[in-house]
Amino acid sequence: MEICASKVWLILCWACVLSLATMLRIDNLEKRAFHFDEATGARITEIRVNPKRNYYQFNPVHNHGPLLSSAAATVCRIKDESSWQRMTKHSLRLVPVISGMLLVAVPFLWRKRFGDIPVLAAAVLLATSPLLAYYSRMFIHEMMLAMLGLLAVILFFVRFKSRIFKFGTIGFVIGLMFATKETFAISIIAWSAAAGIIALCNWRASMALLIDWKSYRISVASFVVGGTLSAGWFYSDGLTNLGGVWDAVKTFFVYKTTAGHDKPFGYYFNMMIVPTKGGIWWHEGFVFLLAVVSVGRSFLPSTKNAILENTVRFVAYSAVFHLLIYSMISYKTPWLMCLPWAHVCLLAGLSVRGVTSWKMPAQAIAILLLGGVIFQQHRLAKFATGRFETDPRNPYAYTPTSRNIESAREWLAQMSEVMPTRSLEPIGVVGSEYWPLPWYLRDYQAIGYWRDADPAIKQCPVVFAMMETEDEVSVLLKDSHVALTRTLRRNVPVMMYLRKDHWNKWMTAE
Amino acid sequence: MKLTNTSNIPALVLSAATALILGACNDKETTDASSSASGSNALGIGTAGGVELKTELPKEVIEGSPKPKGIKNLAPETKKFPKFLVPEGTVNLAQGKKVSASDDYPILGEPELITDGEKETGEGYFLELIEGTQWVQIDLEKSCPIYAIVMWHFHGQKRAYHDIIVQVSDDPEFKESVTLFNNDYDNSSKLGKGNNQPYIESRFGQLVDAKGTQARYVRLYSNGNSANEMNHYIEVEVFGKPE
Repeated sequence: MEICASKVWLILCWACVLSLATMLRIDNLEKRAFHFDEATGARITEIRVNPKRNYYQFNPVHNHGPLLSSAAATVCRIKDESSWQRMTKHSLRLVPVISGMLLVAVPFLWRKRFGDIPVLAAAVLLATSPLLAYYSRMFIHEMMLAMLGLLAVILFFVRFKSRIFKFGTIGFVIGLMFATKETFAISIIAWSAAAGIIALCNWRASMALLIDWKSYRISVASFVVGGTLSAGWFYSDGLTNLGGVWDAVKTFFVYKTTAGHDKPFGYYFNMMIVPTKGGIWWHEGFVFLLAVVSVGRSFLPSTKNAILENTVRFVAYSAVFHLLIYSMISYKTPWLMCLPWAHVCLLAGLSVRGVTSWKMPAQAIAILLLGGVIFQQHRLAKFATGRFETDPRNPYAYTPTSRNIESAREWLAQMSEVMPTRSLEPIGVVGSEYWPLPWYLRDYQAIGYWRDADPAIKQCPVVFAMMETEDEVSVLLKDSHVALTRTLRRNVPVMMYLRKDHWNKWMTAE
Repeated sequence: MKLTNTSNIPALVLSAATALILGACNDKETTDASSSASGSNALGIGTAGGVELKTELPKEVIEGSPKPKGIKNLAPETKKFPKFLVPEGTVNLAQGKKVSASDDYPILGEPELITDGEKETGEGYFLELIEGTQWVQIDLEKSCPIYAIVMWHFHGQKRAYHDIIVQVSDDPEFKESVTLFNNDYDNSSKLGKGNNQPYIESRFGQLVDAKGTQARYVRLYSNGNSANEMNHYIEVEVFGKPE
């Protein structure tokens, strides 16, 4: 009877954690305007789902892996959104939402190893992390990579009946990571370095493993086969384009990052751990402190279970190596911290391992501390995904798109209603770095894109000019169009020109 | 960040659509609202025979001001405070008066900062409201004739605030009101289209002719700005004659 009651409690606790994670991820999912990267990802997805296009090819120079667009295409097909015009932010963002939910559930696989309370603690910290909640709502690759990465780590320390199956499964998951984003290689390096330190510290056991290497040959082969199968399947688009496999390798040498994202070495450390005041205090430092406690405990002389403590240390070293490698790369964006921070949350949850055997005051203090951290995290996550979702002081709101450009789409639709006999097409877009504008102009078929101001734009009733072209465009259109200021992204205004006859009609319409 | 290969779409203008548009171009319009769109913030002289409206102007912010991003000045750039006449005895009725806001939990500042007489741009001088269409409302305590309203949103950076609407009313709920300024040309705030021009914030603020409208309450709307999504108010002065 007691066992049954504890199971009910366990199920209830997990249901609560998953509900909390769902609320933070799904609430007002469509509210935030579509980010530059989300819009380009949507375009890639559209190529997959649109039956008229009927082709997909991985671009090793500009694109991350195909898994995200493949998953999003499935969601779009299910929701009957198989064209650029019909696609919605909600459907596309469901993919990272689901990935974020799975990430929260992944520690469950360690309940036999560490017990229910530590893995529940890890799950709730993963659920309420402002960083992870924020990027679970953004249609980019990071949450999928974080979920698969943490799953790979956890599977490595889960007992399987068959070692071959275990390594095959891990290989499959790592192959999916590769199919998600080429930066999976950074995780492989970080995990290898962490494993190297553990091996050095336990050199006797390592030597025994080395001597016995022949018994691992089939396991290693199944790992390679699993990885090749999953990555190969997606890069070759279901074996329909075998050249995609070569492109997957080539991407490590030809991939081009965009300029303007270089930041100092300490950027990630400051972002995550150092409290900064901006409307509210931004930091996830308390989770970091719990993680430090967790690692510290693994070195205490009283610790008895070496396998458990080595597992904790492996996660800790992995987190540190991830942080170091990403910090050494000058190209930095906040979402690159998702997988490293998932390690930290896992580690922080494990700080209460063995709590059931502690004496009462220690138990109470641990639970109170944990409760305090969860409360603070949840509050910050609510702010990050709510009031401060696009606020410049929110460290995760990185070059957000302005709602002002979102309202431009509504306005164009209203104008079409007001003047049904006048077409707003062709629409001209002049300049570069204009994404996510194509997403907001997706109701229109005839859109011309020019790098520089071209006299042909005079024929366009509506012209959007990026600021670098604005001087030339304003000269070309000064007699024929009305100039209106819109905002594309934070600190990126865009001029919208509306031909005067349309403007007059709009302003005089009831 | 990644660009899809579609971002390099060659310049494309569909000829059929072009022909359609060019055809539409020839339609005659009887009202040239565009003229009002390109100079509609121009003020008259104010009250004939009145005295010149004076107000204390804040300093030009140079140090620490973010680099302007080259927004075009749509309304003529304000180089000095405009000459505007108001009846003798006109005073700032808003000074120290109670202010409320649509955002119950402002991100920065308190609503009272709007009527405290301080017009600097640093933190502690302005009220910051959440994104979207937001308003602040000043209660003048009595219905009075209002001749001018001067507003400063944020002049520490060259930025334009979207959908600025200024209304006055005797009803605190603004179920009936008079609109004195409105540059929400696309009606995104759903309060009606306006043909006033967007303008770049400056230390001179924006002066609105209130035409002697009798009202107790003044409400100012905005909907983010060209730099970010937030709404800011440093100071609002309401010039009228106390009754």
